[in-house]
Amino acid sequence: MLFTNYNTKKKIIALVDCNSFYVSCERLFNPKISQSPVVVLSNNDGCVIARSTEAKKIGIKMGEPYFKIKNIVTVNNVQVFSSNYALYGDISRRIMTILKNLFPIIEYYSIDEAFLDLSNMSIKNMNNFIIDIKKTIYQNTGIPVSIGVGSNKTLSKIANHLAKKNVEGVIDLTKLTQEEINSILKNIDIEDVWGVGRQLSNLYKKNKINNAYELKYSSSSWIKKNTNVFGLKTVMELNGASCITLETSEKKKRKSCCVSKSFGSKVESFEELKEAVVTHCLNAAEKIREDEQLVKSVIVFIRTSPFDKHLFLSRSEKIDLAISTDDSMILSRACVDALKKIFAKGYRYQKAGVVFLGLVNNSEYGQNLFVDKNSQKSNSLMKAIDSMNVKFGRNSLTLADSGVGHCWKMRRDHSSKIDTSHFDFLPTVKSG
Amino acid sequence: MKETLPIILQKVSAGFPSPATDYIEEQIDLNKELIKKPSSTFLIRVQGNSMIDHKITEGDVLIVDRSLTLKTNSVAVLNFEGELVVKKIVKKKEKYFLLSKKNNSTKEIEINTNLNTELWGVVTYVIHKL
Repeated sequence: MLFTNYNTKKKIIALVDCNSFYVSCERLFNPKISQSPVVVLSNNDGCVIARSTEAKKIGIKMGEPYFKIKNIVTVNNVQVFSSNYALYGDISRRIMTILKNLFPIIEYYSIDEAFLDLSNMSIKNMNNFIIDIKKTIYQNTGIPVSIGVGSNKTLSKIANHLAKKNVEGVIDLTKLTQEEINSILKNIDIEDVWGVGRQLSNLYKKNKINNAYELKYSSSSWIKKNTNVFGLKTVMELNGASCITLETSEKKKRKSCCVSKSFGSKVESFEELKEAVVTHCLNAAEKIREDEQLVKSVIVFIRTSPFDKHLFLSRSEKIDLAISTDDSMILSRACVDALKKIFAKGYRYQKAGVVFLGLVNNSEYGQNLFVDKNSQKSNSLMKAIDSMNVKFGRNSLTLADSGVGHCWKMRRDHSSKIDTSHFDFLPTVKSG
Repeated sequence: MKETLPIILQKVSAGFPSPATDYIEEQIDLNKELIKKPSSTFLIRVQGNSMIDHKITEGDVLIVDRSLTLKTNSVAVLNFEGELVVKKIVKKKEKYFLLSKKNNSTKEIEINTNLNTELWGVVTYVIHKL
């Protein structure tokens, strides 16, 4: 049998997912729009990345470019917001903290989703229990969530999918019979199964696997031959086994870190491009220092807009560092070197980015024979920079290379400008 | 009873001892004192002077805890007619009412989600700059 290698003890996994999270965050301090169609746009106001139920109903699609829906927006008085990650990040942190305090075994899956392991809890009535979690999150943060419970991550994802359409907003699959689960799986399209991406779903459809039920009962040898280990795990989880473990925060650390942004207006000069690249580099460096990680190599990439009538250019350069480091000065020097190699005159650049690769934990890295005394000095300098930036806002203290008064900053024409974690950008309330 | 002797951290030397060594205790952390539940507490800035009778003025920052329930004489942030407003609350016969001032008369309106007067959070402190 397929499943013998895996833990047979029955698992209970819950997936908590915030409903239209970015929209809910915008509505939190703006109840006027609680019934209106609302959309949130990606970085640079490019395309739709979040929609309220009302916006979905009038036919606005996920990922649609903003310029294409401008007409629908005016006709239906759709409320449009630029993404405000400072706000979403703070609300997310609050929700995750509440969940972590209640459920120690938790995987922060994304900004608005978390898996909880409820296996070792004595829960008399699961439905009431998850309704209570939902109420607690709403009471404390004002954000509505849906909760799905199943015997593994894949089934909890499916449960959550159903919970979104349910009035209560929660679904528990663990008490259902095989037949009941099967009839549910028949209504789950193959592309809605967790872990089945576009390519894989095309492969499955070609082979007459069109829904979760058909995947569940597909031949495991065929799956083994035609997909990878993850494909197989998905099938096993549909069969009720628990094979994909929760990546709790202790274990989960990023292996790479990417910071990139599109420019508000096209950039042509090396100097401006350098400022952008160094700023991205410093932000990424701050992130990895926070996680106590070191960088082995950096990639810098630049590109022009594919829709620009002018010449198209997309280039990147990787530089391996002699010694893994978290030192902003070494990293930004490497980034500038990389940029020098790929920069070409006469192009209108639309995007630049920095990727840190080969991240290792600082503690695991151990002592390096080649570390000189300077690194200790630089270490305390980096700490000082980070703490100043926490106090006075990102980029208040930075290297001169990153420039001042950036004209290449993101476009955010529709930002709510609220930041619940910054004293100068607090939400407001009328007195009356 | 066993008497313990205090440990003297200051080296004995001529002149005055540094007053700094008296403060070995942690410093006051206003976050800890004023915000009991950080996950459910929001800071919100006040617009307007209609709550001046309750010592809340334009520009003040309210510390608002969403986890709390209303009590007699609470000051609360409410979702009232599509806007976030800060209001004085009164309790009568187990029901809560907000006080709404309009044209020099004060009206009592019951707090109830159905009536579009939903509780948003309870104000615990007001930060007022002098």
